[in-house]
Amino acid sequence: MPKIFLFVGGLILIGFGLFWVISLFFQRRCVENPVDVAVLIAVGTVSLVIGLREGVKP
Amino acid sequence: MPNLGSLVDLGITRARFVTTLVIIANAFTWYLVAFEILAHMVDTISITTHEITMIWTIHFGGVACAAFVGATLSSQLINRNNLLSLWMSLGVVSSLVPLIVVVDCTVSLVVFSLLLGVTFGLGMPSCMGYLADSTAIDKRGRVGGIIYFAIGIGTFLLWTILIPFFRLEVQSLILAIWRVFGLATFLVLKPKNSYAKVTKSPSYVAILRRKTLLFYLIPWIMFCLINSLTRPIYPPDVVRTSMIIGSIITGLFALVGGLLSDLVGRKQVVIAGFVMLGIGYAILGIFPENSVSQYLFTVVDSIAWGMFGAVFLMTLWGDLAEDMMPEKYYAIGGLPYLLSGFLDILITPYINMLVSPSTTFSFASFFLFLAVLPLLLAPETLPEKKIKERELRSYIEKAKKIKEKRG
Repeated sequence: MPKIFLFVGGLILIGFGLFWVISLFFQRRCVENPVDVAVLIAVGTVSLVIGLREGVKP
Repeated sequence: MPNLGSLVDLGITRARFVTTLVIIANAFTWYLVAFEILAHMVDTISITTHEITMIWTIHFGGVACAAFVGATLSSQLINRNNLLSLWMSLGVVSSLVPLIVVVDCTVSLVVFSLLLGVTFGLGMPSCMGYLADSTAIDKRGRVGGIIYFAIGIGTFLLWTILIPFFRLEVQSLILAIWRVFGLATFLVLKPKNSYAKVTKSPSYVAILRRKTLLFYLIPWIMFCLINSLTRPIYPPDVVRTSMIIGSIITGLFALVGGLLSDLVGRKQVVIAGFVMLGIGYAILGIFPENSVSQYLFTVVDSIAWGMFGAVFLMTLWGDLAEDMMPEKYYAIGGLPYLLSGFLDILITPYINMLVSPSTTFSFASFFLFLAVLPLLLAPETLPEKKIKERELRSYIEKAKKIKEKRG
């Protein structure tokens, strides 16, 4: 059960990354530091995968 | 982990998928845009608050009654395909009403709002039932996710094209053409009735007595309720941001949520959505003015809506129906989503005067925690056998690859 937070945390991080990119896109600005966004989404994905593999199993 | 090929496999023929996608996405986008047009008409005509309440009560009452009647008709009296054709034709006619009749007084607004509600509610359970009968239980989530994604994108596009640039008459005409497109696609592809495997249609009382259904229905109602009660007190910045960026994130996470619900089960995806919302509301309750907490809330709310839309609106009720006709399950499961708009309209003028944002968000967080409790007791609707089968298949594929590598 605690690993559901890895799953949830992963989704939130990916969501934040997307939010960042989309909001900058709507403001017609470039991502100033694309590495930050990439790291955020990558960490989110890893967290999601770990949460999926070990935590969220029926 | 399953390979990419199996993830994109929808398990139905292309024609069947297109028909399902078009009839559901067309109906929901049509209704959501028509609803906004009706709301605009109600706002612009000078009528009293009581008359506004009466118009909306009649509209949502019409949706609810028509959904129950439509589900009963489809499962007992009328062939589903005939009902769907009739329903879509009725949609074309009701779209054209503002073009033919001048809707500028309370009586005409009442009639138009009732017509709109009945026109949507009557066929909604049948088109959702069509989704349930067209898809296998272990592929239903991803198909539902794609459809919910299409609804979000379709509504966004129709809304941005229709509302700001055209007069009411042209808006009505575009909506009618959009509905004709749905009807034409349905008639051209001529789907077969999919009742063969279905044995019977249970009564509403029998459905509501099922504990499994209640364990899922109660959290869904609580979510819709909390969402409606808290929406009027979001800070204006959050509303603006969540309308544009949130709708895109919702669409993307509907795809993710649908796929995940097929891989790990519906229950886990729904619990994850509630956990996220609980965190979002709790942080917004503590720091309601802080922009980071507002952005966090926008993100978690959009993700949760995407996942709940794919699971609660599209998938779950079809799973719960099992071998029975799914129409009545979808009528019951779809109503909290549709009626939450009614609560939103009724509460909006008063909620800001009654409670502070901080108190409301804290209460929302607490009630979301309570909403998870029935979910913990609910059994998983995706059969465990299917999950094990997929894991075994994935394991065999991996073993084959390793064997090929070693020669």
